[in-house]
Amino acid sequence: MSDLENAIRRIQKFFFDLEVPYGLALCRICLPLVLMGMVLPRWSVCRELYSADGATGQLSVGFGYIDMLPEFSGTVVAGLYAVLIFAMFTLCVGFCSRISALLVCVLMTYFSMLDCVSTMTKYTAIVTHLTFILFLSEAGSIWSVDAWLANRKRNIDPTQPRFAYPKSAAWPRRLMQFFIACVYFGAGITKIHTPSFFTGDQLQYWMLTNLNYQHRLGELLSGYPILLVAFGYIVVVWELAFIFCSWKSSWRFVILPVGVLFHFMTTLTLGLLMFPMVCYCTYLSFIDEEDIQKSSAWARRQIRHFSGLKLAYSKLIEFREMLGDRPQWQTPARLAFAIAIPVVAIAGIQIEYQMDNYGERRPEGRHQLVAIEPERARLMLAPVQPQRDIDKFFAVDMGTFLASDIVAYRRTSFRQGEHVIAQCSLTPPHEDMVVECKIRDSENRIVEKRVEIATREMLRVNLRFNITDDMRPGDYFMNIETAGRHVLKKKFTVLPKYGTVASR
Amino acid sequence: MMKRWFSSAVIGVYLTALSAGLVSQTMNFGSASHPIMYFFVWDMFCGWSSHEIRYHVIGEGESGTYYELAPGPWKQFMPYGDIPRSHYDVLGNAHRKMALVALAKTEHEPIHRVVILEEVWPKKYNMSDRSWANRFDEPKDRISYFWQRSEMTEEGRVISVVPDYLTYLQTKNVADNPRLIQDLHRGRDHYVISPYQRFASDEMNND
Repeated sequence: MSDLENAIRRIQKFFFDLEVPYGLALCRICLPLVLMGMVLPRWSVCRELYSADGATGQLSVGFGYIDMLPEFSGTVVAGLYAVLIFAMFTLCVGFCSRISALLVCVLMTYFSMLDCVSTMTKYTAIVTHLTFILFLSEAGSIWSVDAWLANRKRNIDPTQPRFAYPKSAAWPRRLMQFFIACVYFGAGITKIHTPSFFTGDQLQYWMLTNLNYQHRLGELLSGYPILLVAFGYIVVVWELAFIFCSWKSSWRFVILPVGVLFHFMTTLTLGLLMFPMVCYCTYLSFIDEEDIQKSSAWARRQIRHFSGLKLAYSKLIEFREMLGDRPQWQTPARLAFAIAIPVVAIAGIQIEYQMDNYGERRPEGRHQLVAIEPERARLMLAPVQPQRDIDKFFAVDMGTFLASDIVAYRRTSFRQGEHVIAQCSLTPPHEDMVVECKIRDSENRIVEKRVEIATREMLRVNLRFNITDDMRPGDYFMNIETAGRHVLKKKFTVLPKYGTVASR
Repeated sequence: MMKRWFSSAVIGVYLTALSAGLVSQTMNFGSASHPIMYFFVWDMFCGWSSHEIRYHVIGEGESGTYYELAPGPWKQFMPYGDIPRSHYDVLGNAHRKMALVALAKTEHEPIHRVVILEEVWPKKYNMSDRSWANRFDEPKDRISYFWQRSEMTEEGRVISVVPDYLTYLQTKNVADNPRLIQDLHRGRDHYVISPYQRFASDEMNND
């Protein structure tokens, strides 16, 4: 067999090997549950966000296409949004799985593209891909209402996969794996395109941004940019390596857990919630039959050991027996699904009408506009004031060595004879500036002085000076000035040189 | 057999689309050519700003009173935490519509003009007091810079628009160079056929 034939055979096996779609079924169950966290809070304001009766912000505008998608009335949007929620529920339980996945894919994409302000994000774009792949797949053939109605011999207990579950080609799962690998590769390329990512500045400022959910750890880490630089390099290497190492090999057991940890850290440091959860759903596509067999064996052992689990398991079996097989319900169930869609839409319209988002039917009448305090209005509308010097500087840090052009270990006490670096971090955009550093002793006498020019593209200025023997042990102040105006002040202590009597 | 061909075609088309997105992004070619590229270009966190920005949409009433138009006086929607939706409209796509919805759905005196403002402050002031005290020897003294982005009539007709505050600062820094400004006005052609160029020249001369 030639190399080419061998390669073709391997590719065919890779994509068309038959398998039980465990991973995709898990993704089908988990993804809608995750998305509910995003979709349900927007239900009560769907008229405002997605209808011609509200304030849409179409994604297409940013690409130069003005209002590319049609905008429906608030009533139609309320109906469609209710159908979206219904389809997410049916996708989760696996009822008419394919059509549910298609409905979620189309409606979710449509609503997201209508509101690039507060709905469209990269994770909603990821959801579009995932639901499209679920639509193409046989994800509803196991652990679903569809599977129950199909009257195949099965066992709803995922810990016992010994029954003959229906098998299907692996390619939808492979597409999902390729997809998430491409997302990471693209994210890695983006970071390479962003020079300030590797200086720690980008991450530092993102961690201080208050646009996402609370992220206290981010604020804490923003004070240690050297750590951010190190993590930044690790993340880029991981993102670029994912597409090569996430397949069935020993590397998979490093790459995937690192991914889980990475996304968990984005929650703690950047305040992202939905993005990590959606990415975790894609990781389920890496679960194959062998993984399920191993975890089933483990689960069986746990059931044998714990009486509580054994009881729950027997209850589950009882419940399954009670359900029985209902193949005769298959056709009526599909009919019920078709009838349920308009019913849900009408119910959604009614509920949204009752919620009365704009308060137009309130007994006390329509809302009044809220007046702004005259003093605040005056402040807001006054001509913009000149930028203060302090707002052109981020901070001043002191240390003795740099790593990645950042003061690696910040200190405020130095020994005589040490070489000190005072690093002024600047806040862009700023003009070309003279940055002056004056060291004053406790009696306010200038004992040392350094001057540097900070051009507009610079993010840091390093002012270096020695703690000479002339600087006697005690407290000192470093004053940062520009054009003779005070900007920042930093107190530091000079200690006696090592080896001297005073140092002991 | 047909099913296998169909599957192969789907695999081929899908992987080609993903690859095209990656190439487009890597080579920076056509990555913003169409809204569909948003679904194939993975440029998360591609930009950053050193300043925190909030957006205010206010209306001036006949009496001289100013009213908040966004968020509207009804239940506020906060998509990602505790900040109303209007503050996420970085491109300013929806501010005009927000103002018009607020005016259409509320009781109010006649409104003469609608103003969209940016409130900007350096992100270092987002630090908690504890973090601030660890890093700075001087007290936190935050001020906001308010910058008027655009002005509209009550019907939403735009009267004036200017770039955002940070672009203004950047432009100001570049323009703070007499030699550059002199060069800008030196050797300018007297007549340019393009009507857009003529318009621009007139504008400059008027200035």
